Amino acid sequence: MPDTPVNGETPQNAASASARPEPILDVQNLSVAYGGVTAVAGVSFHVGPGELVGVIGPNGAGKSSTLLALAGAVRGKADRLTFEGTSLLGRKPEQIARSGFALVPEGHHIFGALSVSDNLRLGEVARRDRAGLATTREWVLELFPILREFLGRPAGLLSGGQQQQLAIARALLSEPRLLVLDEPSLGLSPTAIDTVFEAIAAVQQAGTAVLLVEQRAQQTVAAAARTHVLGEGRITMTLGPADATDAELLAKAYLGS
Amino acid sequence: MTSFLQALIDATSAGAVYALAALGIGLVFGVLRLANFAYGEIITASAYTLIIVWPMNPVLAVLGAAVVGVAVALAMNYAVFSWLRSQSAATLLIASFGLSILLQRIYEGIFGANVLSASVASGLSTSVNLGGVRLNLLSVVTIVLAAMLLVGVQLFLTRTSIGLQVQAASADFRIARLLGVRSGLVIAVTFAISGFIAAAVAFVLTVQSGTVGPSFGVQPTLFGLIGAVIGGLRNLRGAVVGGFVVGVALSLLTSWLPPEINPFRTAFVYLLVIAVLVLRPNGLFSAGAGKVRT
Repeated sequence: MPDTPVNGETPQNAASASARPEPILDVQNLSVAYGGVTAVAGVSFHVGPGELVGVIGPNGAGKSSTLLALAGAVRGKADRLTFEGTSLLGRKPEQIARSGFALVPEGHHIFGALSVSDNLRLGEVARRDRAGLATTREWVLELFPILREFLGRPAGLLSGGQQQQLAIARALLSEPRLLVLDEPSLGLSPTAIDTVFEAIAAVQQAGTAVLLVEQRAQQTVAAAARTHVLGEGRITMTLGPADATDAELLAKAYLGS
Repeated sequence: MTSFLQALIDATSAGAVYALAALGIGLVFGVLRLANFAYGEIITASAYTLIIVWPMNPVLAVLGAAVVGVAVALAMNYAVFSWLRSQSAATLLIASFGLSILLQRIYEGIFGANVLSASVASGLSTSVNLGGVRLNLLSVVTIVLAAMLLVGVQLFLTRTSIGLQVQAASADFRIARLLGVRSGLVIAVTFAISGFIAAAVAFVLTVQSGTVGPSFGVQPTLFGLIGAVIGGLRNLRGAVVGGFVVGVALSLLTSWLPPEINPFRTAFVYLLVIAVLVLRPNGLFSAGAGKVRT
């Protein structure tokens, strides 16, 4: 805003900024199509700094496509798609990852032939600098103590739940300002799911914004500031934490109104 | 007994050459899924450098061969393969075929269709007497050179951050990029290393033959590729062992086959390849069976 007069404007700006902080992730009218088949049809939402935002919806609703478009792994179109004020459109996945945006894709995708420790080292590739690395490592291993025991072991030998923990830990080592998780509870045992949700809460408490895509509606709605319900590529409903106990509403959200 | 030991050392040395070729091919296959037929033309470029420059200045020839190998490999990447990265493995393979033929014609245009000769490192062609066993010095040097390169590449892949990124990109390029692995850098580094290895192969082969022609690199590349396929292209260690096995088999067949059928020794190698691929379609050292297509 170079044209805006500076005098008298500053206090007002500061006040409005504190009232509604600039979103860390701003998505407006995002659509994704695969060779003519529309997967995401004009989705808009935002994530504020340090906020936990949920996205739920049935299979094929466009959840993963939305995340992959944000991460630059598939091409999307949008009126606005910014992370910390910078447009993500047309940028390479590695550039986005190096800008403080970490995606843990569906199905964890750890490197099974590499050791747990090497997997974690790969998480450090996207870091801006190595300052504070030791602290982050320690914090991540405190978050997932099981990984510390298996550092030298091939990651492929871990259980599904442990692999998911490793995938999240790996993403955290890049010290992201936004952690994006695609169905982290998929295929996990109830105990493992609890561990993952506890870790997500701890990550958010540490000040990292989280965008959580899940099938587990009740748990997600309870944890998130807002939860958007996605159906057939569109946001059909937005729920608040209070709605978590409304079983009827959650069921309706899934079945479509 | 001594002749057996000599044959064994020679076979190990031949195996080492094809293990190196398989390593160079396997590294690039890992990150790009490209079985680079034009790898031979990198070897040829380095071999021309050695043959032409050696009589003037041996040190410059060796350095030049390494620089030319790396440069040609990088040029291939940027001029051809970086444009085809999103294409299928079949497209990449055909492109590498075309590039191979094109480069051979270019070499022919520049250096002529006939072979150029020069004696490179003639000191290595002598034999040394080691406890009653006469050893070909070049065989020993080849084995040491290959061992050093194998260990070097292994250390690079496991001990350095960029090496780890190459491993990650080979396992799953999409996920590696989501972690911030720079695709262009990883691919370029891999091509550069494969070019350096090609220069080492060229050194050993030019010392052996003292000649170079436009299609100099075709045969070692073919056998390296065959070795990599036998061992399993997706598994670098397997590819190296596969290359080694092919070299050893060729060398032993040369020593032991009766003279009448010796000219057909490569046919026996191909027979071995067919047998391996029928029994283990993904290679000797890969886990699991092949794709079910029926």
